[in-house]
Amino acid sequence: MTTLVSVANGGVGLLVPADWETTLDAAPGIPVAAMAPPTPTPFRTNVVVTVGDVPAAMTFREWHAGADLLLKESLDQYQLLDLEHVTVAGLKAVRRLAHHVTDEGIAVTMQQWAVLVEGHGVTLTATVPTVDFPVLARAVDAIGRSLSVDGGWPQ
Amino acid sequence: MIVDFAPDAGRLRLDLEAFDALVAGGDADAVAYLRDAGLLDGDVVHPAIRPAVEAARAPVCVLDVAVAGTQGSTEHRMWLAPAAAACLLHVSDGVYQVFVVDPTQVPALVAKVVRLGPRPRLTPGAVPCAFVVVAGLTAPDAEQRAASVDRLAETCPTEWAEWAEELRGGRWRMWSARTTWPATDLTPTGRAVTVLDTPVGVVRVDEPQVDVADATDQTSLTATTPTEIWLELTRLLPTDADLPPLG
Repeated sequence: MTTLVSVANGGVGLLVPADWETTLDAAPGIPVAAMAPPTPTPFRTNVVVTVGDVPAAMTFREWHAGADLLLKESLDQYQLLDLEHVTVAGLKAVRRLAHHVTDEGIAVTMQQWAVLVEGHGVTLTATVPTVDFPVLARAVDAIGRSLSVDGGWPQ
Repeated sequence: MIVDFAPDAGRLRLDLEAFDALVAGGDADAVAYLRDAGLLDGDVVHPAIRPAVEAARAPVCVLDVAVAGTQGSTEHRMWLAPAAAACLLHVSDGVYQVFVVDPTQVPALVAKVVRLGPRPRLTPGAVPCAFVVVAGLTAPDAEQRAASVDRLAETCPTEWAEWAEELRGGRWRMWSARTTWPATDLTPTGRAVTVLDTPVGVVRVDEPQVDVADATDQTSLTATTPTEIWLELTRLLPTDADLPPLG
């Protein structure tokens, strides 16, 4: 496994398999990204972590409900399949599982962990071609569960 | 025979008799009816539904979905070919709507048909149960279904009391999705998942096993999650390794 930790975006870290292609701090608000090795499926499994400011008045519930609406509006054939309340680094978080279709017409399964920490919304989104999901589901779940948000947020 | 074909609107609704005649051919009257309905031009299938007919004529795999509830049961069928999947979804009174989707989108279509979605978590565990009780939930007779619901609810542990109450209140749906294809030795094989769903949690119905002691089929109900069910749905379809070699 490879440990990825972004300091620039507030100590966000996760573990990915050693053979995944990884990127740290490639763009503002995207501290960590990683891609699985290519497969015959014309879509590479990937995980992307984003960090964004969340208005102080917004509750965790309002934030993740808003994310559901945004996903539904922005992703083709978005279908929410599961929504689970979990914790990330001891903080209230959600994990959602959904299906959608990419611009190239490929059916994908998306899992997203979302946590609010010190006024920052952190999401880890893992996207897997649905045909590869049986093989990659456990690995992606392990990556999601490894998400850490250890503070050190830029003010 | 019933056919409602509106190619400009992308809609085809028909009964099984018409679909069978379209796919496998029928007698002269049936073919004449299909021509009048616009589904056939001579012997050529209308281009709007040709992918569906071709998939149904030469499927790699067939997927049957059955959904049961207090109001009775409905069944849907999908034929998966490499290029497309033909989906015959029951609308009402023996009339089906035909959909054509990419085969990779079949699990999502099944999820939509069975209304897979977020559910609260049940206390983890499994409950043994006579299969005849579970099968009774799909009985044609409403009283028999109600009796099976009561027997099933009685077998639930106290941790599942709320779930059992949903059963008794009629707020349940049992569904199964079953794939069939010719194995590498050409004998029929497949995979299946059966689920008993309520607004307060979802359980998987395990495949029945014969209990040698009393010669009855036994099953178990196992608390699960929509995520695990989605995983099962994506596993239903055969992989290249499951299928006989081409040619």
